[in-house]
Amino acid sequence: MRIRFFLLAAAVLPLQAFAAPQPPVLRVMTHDSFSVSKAVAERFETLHQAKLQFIRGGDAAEALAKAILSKGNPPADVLFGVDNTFLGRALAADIFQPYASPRLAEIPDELKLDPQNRLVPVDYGMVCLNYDKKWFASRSRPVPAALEDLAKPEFKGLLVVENPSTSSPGLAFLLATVARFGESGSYTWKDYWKALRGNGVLAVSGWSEAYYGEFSGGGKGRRPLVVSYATSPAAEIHYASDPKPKEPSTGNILEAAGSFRQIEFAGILRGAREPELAARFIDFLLDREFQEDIPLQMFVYPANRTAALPELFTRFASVPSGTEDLDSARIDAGREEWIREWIRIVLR
Amino acid sequence: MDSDRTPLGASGTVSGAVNGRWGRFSGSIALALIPVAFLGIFLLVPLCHVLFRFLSATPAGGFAAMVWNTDLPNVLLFTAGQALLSTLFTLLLGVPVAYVLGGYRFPGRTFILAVIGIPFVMPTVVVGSAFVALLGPGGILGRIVALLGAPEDFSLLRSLPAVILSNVFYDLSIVVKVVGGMRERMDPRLREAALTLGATRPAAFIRVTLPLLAPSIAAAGLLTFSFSFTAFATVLILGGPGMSTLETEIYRQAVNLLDFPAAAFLSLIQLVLVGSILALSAAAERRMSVSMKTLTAGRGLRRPAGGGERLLVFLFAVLPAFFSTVPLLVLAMESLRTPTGLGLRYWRMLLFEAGDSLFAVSPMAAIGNSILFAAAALLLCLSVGLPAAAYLASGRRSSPSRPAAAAEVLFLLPLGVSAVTLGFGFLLTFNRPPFDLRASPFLIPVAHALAALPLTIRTLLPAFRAIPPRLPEAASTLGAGPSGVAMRITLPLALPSVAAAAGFSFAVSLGEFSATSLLSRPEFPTLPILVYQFLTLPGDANRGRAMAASTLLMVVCGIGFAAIDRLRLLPERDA
Repeated sequence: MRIRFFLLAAAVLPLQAFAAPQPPVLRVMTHDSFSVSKAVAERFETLHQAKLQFIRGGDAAEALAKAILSKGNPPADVLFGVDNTFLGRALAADIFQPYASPRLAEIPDELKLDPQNRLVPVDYGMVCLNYDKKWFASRSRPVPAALEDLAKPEFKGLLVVENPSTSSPGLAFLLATVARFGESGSYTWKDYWKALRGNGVLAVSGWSEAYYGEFSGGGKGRRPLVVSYATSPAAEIHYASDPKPKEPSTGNILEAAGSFRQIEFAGILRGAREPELAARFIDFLLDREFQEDIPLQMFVYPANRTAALPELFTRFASVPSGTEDLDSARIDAGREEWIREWIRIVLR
Repeated sequence: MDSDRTPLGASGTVSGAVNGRWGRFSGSIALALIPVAFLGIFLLVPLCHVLFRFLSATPAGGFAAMVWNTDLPNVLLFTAGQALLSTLFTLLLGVPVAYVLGGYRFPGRTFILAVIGIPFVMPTVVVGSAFVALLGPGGILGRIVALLGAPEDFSLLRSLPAVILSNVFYDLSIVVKVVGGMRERMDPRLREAALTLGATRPAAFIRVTLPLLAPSIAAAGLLTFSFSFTAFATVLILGGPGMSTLETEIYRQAVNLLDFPAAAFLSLIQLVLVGSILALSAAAERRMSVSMKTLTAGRGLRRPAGGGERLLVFLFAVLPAFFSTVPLLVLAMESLRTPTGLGLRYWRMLLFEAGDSLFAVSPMAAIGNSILFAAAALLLCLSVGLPAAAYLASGRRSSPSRPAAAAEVLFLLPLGVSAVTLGFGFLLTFNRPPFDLRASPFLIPVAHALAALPLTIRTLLPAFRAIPPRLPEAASTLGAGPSGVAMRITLPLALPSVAAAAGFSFAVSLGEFSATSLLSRPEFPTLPILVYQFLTLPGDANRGRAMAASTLLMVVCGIGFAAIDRLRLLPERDA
């Protein structure tokens, strides 16, 4: 065995030697949706005389799973992209080291869910219902105003959601319904989902399948209502081919709650090779320059309250209010059981 | 035993005599060393690591809870059921197609062969959107059956037929390449002799052609079954949300529920099940295997004679090609369909407007990376697969030695290994300098080669076994060394199968199987990654560019197949 490893080393060592550069390298693991402007990332590199090496860990859940597996000997110094639906599990795994960045002063307290600052909030998205404007307008039918409406016969067979056991917006929407209808009383979240099932809700595995596969406003689907993000209509304009439409083809249903705030955190992994540089990177993530880069790169909202939103956001994706927040301890205690229960109600 | 089964006694088999003169023992062990080392390091060590780590700590009672929590009986039932049905339909469609494509020469044959291979590399998310357009409500199929009186919103999506159809779509090329490659090298004189001796056409088919094809049919069926058994993305994307295979359940437990012990438990079950099936079918295939005189690829091809044969060719070559092409054409069409009519706008955006993101990918770079990784995986896979197949073919067929039987199962074992589990095994194993390969691009071709290895070996093995042992024997009697025998006898004779195997490993790598289980580096984006990147954000430009990038992937794949197919034109001789 040892000999084989030796042979392997001979094959691989030159690569490694080649990869060892002069400036220190900060390794940042992110989920696949992470993005930053080239100019902004380069500013960090010149400012700190360092090189950024990004590593993609899959979607948010995969990246976290890989970080937990590599506990103590992480493949990266910083992990970006743990959200509040997994915060408790991430913290319980004890893989992050605390760092109270001075920039946290500019972050609203309601976003700071870890008092020890092992994970600090960088951005947040709002999971909510999107509707296809043309579909409703051409039929002169009303758009549902609240979650309850979705269980009414006039909206039968119109909604597509993501399976919460395989999709993060799907889980967020399930949590929104738990927050909205509660776990006890005469009408709980379970009753709501039973009613939705009776009303022909379609559940698919992930966001791309729902949005591009089934939603009539995004791809070639047939259903005019989808669980997506409050920023999706703005993205529809930003990523429209020329000529750009004046108004987005889809709209948000935000009025009567039914949306869930998905906060994304970053933290320094225990066992980081470059803890100092990692701390500077956390500062950088919270700094205004990166924060103002967030909206058009990732289509979520910056956590820093001093960051200005681009015009596209102020016009079509203003920050929604009145979300149903569940605290992360309650999410953590209930998540698995809710998912199992959801599968029983909706899929079996 | 072997010689009884050799039709027409074309070549008497002396079992195990292949390596006779130059010491069968040392020679074959040297052959086995490379594949065993490769699989030991990159499959067994990481796998044992992950299984031991998470199962050793589980109390006995914990397993009962896992069975309940993972809904194991239902998952097993669905996994096996859909795999059986998928295999059945793939063989029903694939064997006649292989028979026709491997037997007749007609215009467009090469083109059809290339087209049938393309689905294999398509990212499932993309195939999913093509299937939505085809099978979904208001889709093409829906409109056709509506004419026959079915309800207007008829849809096959999220159903068992959709899963089976997509498995057939993906795996058809395996059957066509494996069985067709064998048929192509069959000496037509065997069948003609049977006819001359008074056999009717059906009798000649049943008594001569079919037995000669049987090992390759079994091999193709086994591959299809294993691929369908471990189906992941097709089930997630096209299947109903209530459907889960072992593979999707392993992923869900590990990634979404962070329940690593349950994932390891399911991985072990999958490994044991697929491993036993492999062992059984390997034994069955050995019994069916016959040696025969083989021809240079294409020499046995003949033009369809008469109306009946022309109809046969049309039915089983042109129609299935249509079946493989339609979803691909739908994608190409979608890349041209903009809100303001047909146009090249998405292509222009894809090729010339990169955007300001640090991770903006130029499609040319993505093509370059895809080809580079695929070429590396191909080389790696062949350098492991050729000795592996040669080793397996060198043993006695009817009663192989125990190490040989074990090696055969080991070589095919990647089929049963859950991608996410192996990815986690890599993370746990190659994590210390100088072997901290976790984020190294080096692991990508390794993972692709692992995934492609069973296909490669299964493609090569029937061809290697079909080489009459007296040829290498004669060569070594005449003084050729082992490498001379390999280079001048074995390889040239098996060339069509080597080309098919190379095509498979190229395709597996281009299609990025199991990519999600590794850490990837944004500096080395590939075409499928580009496609996925576009499909994570809304907007018609994202969707359109995803379709354009998928079309590009099809083109690269088609060119790659055509290039690999040229391998067959290297100088070679008849056996």
